[in-house]
Amino acid sequence: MEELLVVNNLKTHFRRYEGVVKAVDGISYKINYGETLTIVGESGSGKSVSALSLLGLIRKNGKVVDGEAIFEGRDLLKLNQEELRQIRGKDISMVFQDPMTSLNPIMKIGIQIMEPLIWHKLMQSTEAREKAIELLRVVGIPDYRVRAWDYPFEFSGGMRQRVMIAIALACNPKLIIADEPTTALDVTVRAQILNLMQDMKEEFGLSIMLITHDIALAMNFSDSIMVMYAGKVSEYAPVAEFIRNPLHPYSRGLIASTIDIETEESFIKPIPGAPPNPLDLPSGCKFHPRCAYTQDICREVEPECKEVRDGHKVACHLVERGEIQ
Amino acid sequence: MEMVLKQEHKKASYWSSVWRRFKSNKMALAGLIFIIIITVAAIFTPWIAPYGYDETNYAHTFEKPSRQFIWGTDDLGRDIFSRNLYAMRNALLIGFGSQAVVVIVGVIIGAIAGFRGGTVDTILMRIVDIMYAFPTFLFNVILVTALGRGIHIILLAIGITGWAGTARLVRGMAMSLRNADFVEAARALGAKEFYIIRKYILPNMLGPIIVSIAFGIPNAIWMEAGLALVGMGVRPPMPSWGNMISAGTGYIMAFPHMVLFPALLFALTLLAFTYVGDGLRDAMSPRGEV
Repeated sequence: MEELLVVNNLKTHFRRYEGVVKAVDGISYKINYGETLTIVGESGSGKSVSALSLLGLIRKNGKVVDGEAIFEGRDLLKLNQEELRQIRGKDISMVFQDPMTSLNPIMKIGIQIMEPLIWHKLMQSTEAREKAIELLRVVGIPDYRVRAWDYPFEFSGGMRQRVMIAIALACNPKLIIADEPTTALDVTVRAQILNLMQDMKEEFGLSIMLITHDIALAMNFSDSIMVMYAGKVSEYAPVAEFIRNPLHPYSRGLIASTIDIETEESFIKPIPGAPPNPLDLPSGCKFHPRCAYTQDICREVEPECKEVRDGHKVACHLVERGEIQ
Repeated sequence: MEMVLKQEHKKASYWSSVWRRFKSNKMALAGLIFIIIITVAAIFTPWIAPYGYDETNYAHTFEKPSRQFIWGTDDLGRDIFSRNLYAMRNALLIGFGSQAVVVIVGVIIGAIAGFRGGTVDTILMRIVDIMYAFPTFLFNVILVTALGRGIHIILLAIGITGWAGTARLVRGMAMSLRNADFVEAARALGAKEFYIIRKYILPNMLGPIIVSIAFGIPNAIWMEAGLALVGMGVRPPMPSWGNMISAGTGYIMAFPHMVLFPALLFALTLLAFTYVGDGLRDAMSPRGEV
């Protein structure tokens, strides 16, 4: 399969009064055409920043200090703001976490769907109007012809997320970055939105970069999974391989901390401790203070992300030594 | 059924729902009607007023309301009704005019401070703090003394002493809207910065700004009355409610109508603007109402 996006050694650092926060510190991944990559991690692990860095959308105190992101032959990190603007929404678009606040409250949703088409000069407004209505039909808004001219406050959360997806789809992008698209939604609505995204992916031939903290969702939805911890990749594998054999202790911890309906005892085993302070990261392996298998080497030497099997990469000394299999 | 639904949908725009909520507040609606009436009257004053504001008639001084002078006459035999109309005209001119100054200065300063942030913000906000800390009334007296007592000078003075609150309001909104989710979403979908400011940020600021104008107008009118009371308001014979009331208080025991009518109209006008402001604030704030 052909590669749509290849990211190599991306580093995004933020200058803060207290010091430098290495929010993303040397991550590499690729997304093929029509593929879904899920980035999993706790809050503050750098998963959102790694996506926003690609589009030049990080806050002013942040800077991409190293790396490359080849999207269809062009390095996104070397483009200027205007060139990036032309890519945003057109080739790469985004679906955001909170549909309640991500729509302009005083603009009709139909207009908001038309906007990217007009911004990118793809259509005139009459044509865009028809396209907006069509998109609302596609994403499953009932009574879409009338509802297109309603305001966001007249929709429920799930419906708004459908609208957000319609906006993201408007320009037929090649890649959609979905930043926790279901986190703010009701559990019952989540499945609907995910199914919708899956359908859209097939219908439009999209690639998706899904950002989530929900490892169960990631395992159901994606083609590859990348687990991030403290700005680094701890495990990166095709989904089938990941499900069969998650190697990194952190990945195992994430899986253990979800409810497995097949086991009798419904205990959730949380990972002890809390994510590290980004200004004061532990030495060696960033995960070692919370890891059950910690050894001396973990405290001293930072593990590199190495391929252990076909496409299965792990950053762990113990896996490397064969002590975890 | 289909038809009914469609009609209801047509009605549900943001401003029409604001209007619907505003309408349900009877006092606010009454205030708005009152304001519309006095505004129309103020525009057409020269044609409506039966007498000129400085038209003295020494045969008819201190007259009680009669058919010829419906609200009576004052110490110089001037028609109080006509003078009230002119006073109203001046009050509205000062009210709206000073708020125009306030909005222009306040929005520009507030928006620059809020969007730019950093040092620019710090400097502008310190200026705002100084404006805030300085006694407004005294500042007005100084400005009017220095620049003269023409009505335009007075409205300008009230305007340039009153923008600090608006600047703070706009700065606060600019700071929160600059990083609002929907603004970042628009940016992520390829909107240009200027378009974001024009279509996403300014319209979302409009509600609170309109409310602040509605409360600012009666304040400005009140400020002029205060200036008139210390002899710094609109220069007689040009009438203002302030100087009419202040002149009338000397005769309040013998000829209460000289104070009564301007005071009543003055109070009603302030009340009307305040109710409208209240109504607008209530109508614009509930977001997410179904």
